Amino acid sequence: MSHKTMNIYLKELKDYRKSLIFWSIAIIAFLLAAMSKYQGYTKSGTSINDLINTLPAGLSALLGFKGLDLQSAGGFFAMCVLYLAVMLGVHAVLLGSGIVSKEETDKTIEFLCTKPVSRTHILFSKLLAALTAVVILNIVTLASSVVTMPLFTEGPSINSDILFLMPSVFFIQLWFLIIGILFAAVTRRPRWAGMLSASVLLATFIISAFVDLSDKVSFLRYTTPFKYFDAKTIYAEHAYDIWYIVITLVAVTLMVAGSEFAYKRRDFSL
Amino acid sequence: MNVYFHELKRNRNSTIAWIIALIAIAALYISIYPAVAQNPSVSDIYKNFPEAFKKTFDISENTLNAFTGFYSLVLNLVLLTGAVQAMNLGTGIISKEVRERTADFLLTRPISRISVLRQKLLTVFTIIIVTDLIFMAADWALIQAIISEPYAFRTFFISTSSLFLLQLFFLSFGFLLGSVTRRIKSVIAVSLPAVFGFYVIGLFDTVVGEKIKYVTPFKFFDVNMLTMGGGYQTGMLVYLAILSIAALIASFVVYQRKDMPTI
Repeated sequence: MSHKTMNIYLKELKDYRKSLIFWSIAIIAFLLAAMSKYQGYTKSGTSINDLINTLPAGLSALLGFKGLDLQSAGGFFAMCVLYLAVMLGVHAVLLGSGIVSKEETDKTIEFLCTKPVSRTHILFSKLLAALTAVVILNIVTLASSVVTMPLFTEGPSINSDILFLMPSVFFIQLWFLIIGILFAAVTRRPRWAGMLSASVLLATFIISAFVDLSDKVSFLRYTTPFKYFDAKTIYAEHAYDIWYIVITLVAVTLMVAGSEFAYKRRDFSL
Repeated sequence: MNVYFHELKRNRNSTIAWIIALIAIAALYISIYPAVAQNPSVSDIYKNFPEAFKKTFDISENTLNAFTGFYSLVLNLVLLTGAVQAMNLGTGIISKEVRERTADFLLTRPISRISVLRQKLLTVFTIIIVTDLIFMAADWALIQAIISEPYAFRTFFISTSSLFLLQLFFLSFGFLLGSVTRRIKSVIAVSLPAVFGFYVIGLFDTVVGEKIKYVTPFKFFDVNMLTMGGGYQTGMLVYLAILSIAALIASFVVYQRKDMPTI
């Protein structure tokens, strides 16, 4: 790409720089808070796992640590990944819907469309910029985890666990980024894009919590990205399910194609 | 009262959606309780857990023993959702005229800015009160239908009222934020991180200690105590009221003098 065709991409990256810094600070604050709690309860010396095993499965599922070894730093981090996935998912979904719909809500779409660039070019530049931001936030999270963990834990380093689990967060970010972009590209009411796609995130998160709670509804796991890349399972089995990755890549491709199809054809709301 | 009725109408659908979301969350969690509560010896085991662990997961001795303790888990999630609703509403209703470029239309009408803001405040209050009343009724009905243990209505009412108190804070804070910012492009992109931010601050309770309660509204009251029949600390209620009123007064003052960005 020549410099000229990078204009939109570079402009968007610059626009979202400040927001990215805020999000990074929030993530680091969360990690510090979570780790200080871990340090607090492991110091007491009681064996947590024996106690947890006596709890009913429903409750440990409700609290988010079903089947995890919370005594070990790796197990605790796997539980944190659930919360990180939600936070980074929220970031991705707001970014994806916002980056596309803001031209309409800010009434700058007419200006943009008079430039010698196609709508497809606009959409893909924005997608690329958002994807860059999402990857940066993922790497910031990974790096700050690697730095924070040794400050609060004794024993062997869990860097390999962190490296192994963070891609699961990336896949969840990817899902919600593209869902956000799809909603904003398709809808004729740009102001609702953020709200709608954030509701999808909340609904799929609640479904995944529900799947943990009851075996009867385990078929619902196919409906939520949070279950495709469930840190608890990935940590326990030390493996990703290749089919979920395939489904994700197919779904992402379809959603990107759908976004482009709709964005190219529809009337913009002015 | 034109602005009031107009805003009520504009917010009707989203209010219905929020009420459904709140009730769905409560229903989901309350329906789990019978499965969790089967084991009577659990509360004895539970006493052995170290204090720091309980604090990490925000659970009390009675979480398993009785519904009173379990209800705090439900309420915590409801509070988080309700806070987002209030923050969204407060920030959105103030900033929408600028965002939707209707500010010059509205402000050329023969009504003062104070009147505009007062009517919007009234709308927001109406919406929150209606939401909370409907939610409380549904929540109480769910508890009656699903939970076989007796649960005092007084305790239920006092603890669930914390939803309204928390929303009061976020509403006023949203009002202030909507007034002082020049233009908010996306309301949800501001309100969601703001509420999450306060929530994450609350997670530092083990580090900061008791004093954290002055920094984040999520610690203005102890949900675990409330659901087990405890009350509010008068000092904290006064603190909440002062903060909310101060934020509202500030937003009125700022809005009066604000240079409205137009097209």
